[in-house]
Amino acid sequence: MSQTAELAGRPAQDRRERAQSVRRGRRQRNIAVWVSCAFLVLVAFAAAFPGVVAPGDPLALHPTVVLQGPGAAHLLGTDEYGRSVFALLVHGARAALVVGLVCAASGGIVGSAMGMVAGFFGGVTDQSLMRLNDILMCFPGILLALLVGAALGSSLQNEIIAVSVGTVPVYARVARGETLRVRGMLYVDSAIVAGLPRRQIISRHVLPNVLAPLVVVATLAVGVSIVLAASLSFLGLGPVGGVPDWGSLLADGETNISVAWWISTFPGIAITLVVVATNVLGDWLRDRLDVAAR
Amino acid sequence: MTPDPGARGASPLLAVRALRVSQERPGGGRRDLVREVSFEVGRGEIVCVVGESGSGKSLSVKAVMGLLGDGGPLHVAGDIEFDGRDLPELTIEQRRALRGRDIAMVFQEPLANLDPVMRIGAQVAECVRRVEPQRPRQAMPRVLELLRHVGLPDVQRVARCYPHELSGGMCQRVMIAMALAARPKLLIADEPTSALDVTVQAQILDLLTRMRDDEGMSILLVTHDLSVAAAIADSVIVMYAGRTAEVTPTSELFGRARHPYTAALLRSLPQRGRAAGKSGRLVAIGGTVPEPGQMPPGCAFAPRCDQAIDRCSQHDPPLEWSGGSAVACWVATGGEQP
Repeated sequence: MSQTAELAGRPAQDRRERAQSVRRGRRQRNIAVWVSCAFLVLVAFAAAFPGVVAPGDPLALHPTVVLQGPGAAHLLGTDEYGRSVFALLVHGARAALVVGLVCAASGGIVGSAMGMVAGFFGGVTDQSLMRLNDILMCFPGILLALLVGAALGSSLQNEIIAVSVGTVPVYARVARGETLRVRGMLYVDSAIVAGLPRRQIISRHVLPNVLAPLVVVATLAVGVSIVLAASLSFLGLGPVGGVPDWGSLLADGETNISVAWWISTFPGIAITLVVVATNVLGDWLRDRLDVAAR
Repeated sequence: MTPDPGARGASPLLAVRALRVSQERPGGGRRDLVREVSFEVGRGEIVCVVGESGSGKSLSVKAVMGLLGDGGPLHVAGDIEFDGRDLPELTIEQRRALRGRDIAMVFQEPLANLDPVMRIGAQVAECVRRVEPQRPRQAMPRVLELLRHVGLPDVQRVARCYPHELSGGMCQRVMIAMALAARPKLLIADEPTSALDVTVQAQILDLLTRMRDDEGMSILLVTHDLSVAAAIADSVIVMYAGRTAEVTPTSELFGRARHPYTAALLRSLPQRGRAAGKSGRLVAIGGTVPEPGQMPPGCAFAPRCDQAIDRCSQHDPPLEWSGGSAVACWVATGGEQP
C-alpha cells in the first residue's frame, strides 16, 4: 500500500509535526476556553452576589477620597464622588449580564421563529418576512437601538427591547438558511406524508435540527447585546437611577478622563473582557457542534 | 383476505386515470414528465409499478399522494380516485387528514427518512399519537407493539436508539411500523428495498406481504426490479417514458407479456437454468429512454422496438383495457385497428 511507503519517509515526519502543531493549537485553544469560562463564572458570581464581592453601598458618597488612583486602598480607584470603581463595576455586572442574556434569548426566539417560518413555508410568507428582516438588517444595530430607545424612552425594559430588536436579523437569516437545508431532508417529507400538522413538524423536526448554529449565534449575540446596551447607556438612553451600568460608568468617567483615566478605562476593559470571553466560547461551541468541520 | 384480481373493477381502492405531470419550462411552455398513466389498485391487492429510471414511476405515486405541491413548478392533471373520493378535489387540510391515516408511504432511503436527532420510539409515537391523540407515555405500548409487529428484536432498546444506531434494514422496518401505525387502507412503498442488500430485501418483501395478509391493506409498490414484482405482486404496471405501457396480472407477466417492452425487460433478466441468449449473455435493450420533451411522434418505445411497424412511429397507441389487463401497443392489439 502506498500509505506504508509514505509512513516510512519524510512525509511521515511532516505529518507528525503537523499533528503536533494541531495538538499544540488545540491545547492553546483549550486554555483560552477555560480562562474564558472561569472569567465568566467570576462575573456571573459578582452579578449574583454583588454584596459578597464588594460589601457596602456602592453608591455612598465619600467626599474625602475623590478621584483616587488604583491602588491598595481602592483597587480600581474612585470616581469624582469618592465611590469605588470596583464596587460600581461589581454591582453593575448584573445589569450587563441580564441585558446580554435576555436580549440574546428574546431576539433569538423572535428571530429564529421568523426564520424558520420563512424557510419552511417559502413563497409569499418567506418573501415578506425576509424583506422585513432586510429592512432591519439595513440599519446598523446601534442606530436601530437608538431609534427604538428614543421612541420608547430610557428604562431597563426599553433598553432590552431596543437591543433585542437589533439582534433579530442575524438569527432570522441563520434560522432561515438552516431551515431551507432541513426542509429538503427526506425526514421532513416523511413527516408531511405522515400527515403531521405543520406546526408540529416545525417544532419537533425542524427546530432540533437547526438548533446548533442558532446556539452559536446566541453566544455571539450575548456579546453584541452587552456592547449595544453599554453604547445606549453611554449615550444616555439607558436605565436612569439606581446602580449605574457599565455604559453609563464609561460616560461618567469621560468628563474626568484627563485627570482620572481609571474611571472610564476599567468599565471599558470589563465590557471588552466579557465580550471576548463569550466570543471565545461561541467559537469553541461552533467547532464542537459543526459536524461538517469535525 | 385473499387477493382476487378478478374482482377488480367493482370498486377499486385507488383508480388513477390519465394522470399527467408536466413541468413549466423557464422559456415558457410545458413538457410532460408523466403522460397518461392509468392504473387501479384493488382492495387487499399488491400492485407493482415497474420501469426504468426516469420512466415517471416515482413521480406518479408522488402525484397520487399530492406531494408535488400546489403552486410548485410541477402541474398535475388527471383523475385520482381513492376510496370513492376524488383526491385532486380535496382541500389541503382534507388531503393532510388522509395522509398517514388512510394512505401511508414508505420511501427508498430509510435512514434519510428518519429524523436524526429524535429517538425511534418518539418518532413512531408521533405517528401513533396522530391517529389517537394521547400522552407520549401512553402511546408507548402501541409503539412497542408496532415495532415487534414488523419483526424488530429487542424493541425496548430499539425504541431508545437514534436512527444512526440501527442498520438500514432495521430503519426500513421502523418506517414500515410508522406507516402501519394508522392501519392505512393503502400503503405506498417507493422502492422500499432498493437501498438494502438482497437478504434484507427478501425479509422486507415478506414483511409487506404479511402486512397485506394480516391487515388486509392494499400496497402500491414502486420498483425497478421485475423480480421483486414477480415475488409479491398481484398485478404489475409497466411504465415506459412516462406512460403506462402494460397492466397485467403477475401470473401472466412471465410468458404472456403483450407489450414488446415488457417482453424485452423480461429477456434482460438473469435467470437460473436458462442463460438468456444462446451465448449465455443477457439481452440488453438497445438505445436509451427518450428525454421528456424530445419524445418521438408515435410510440415512445418504437425506436428501440424490434417489432415496430410503420404505424408505431406515427401515432401513439392508446391504452386498451380488456378485463384486468391493458396494453398500449399497436402490434399487441392487432395493429390495424383504427
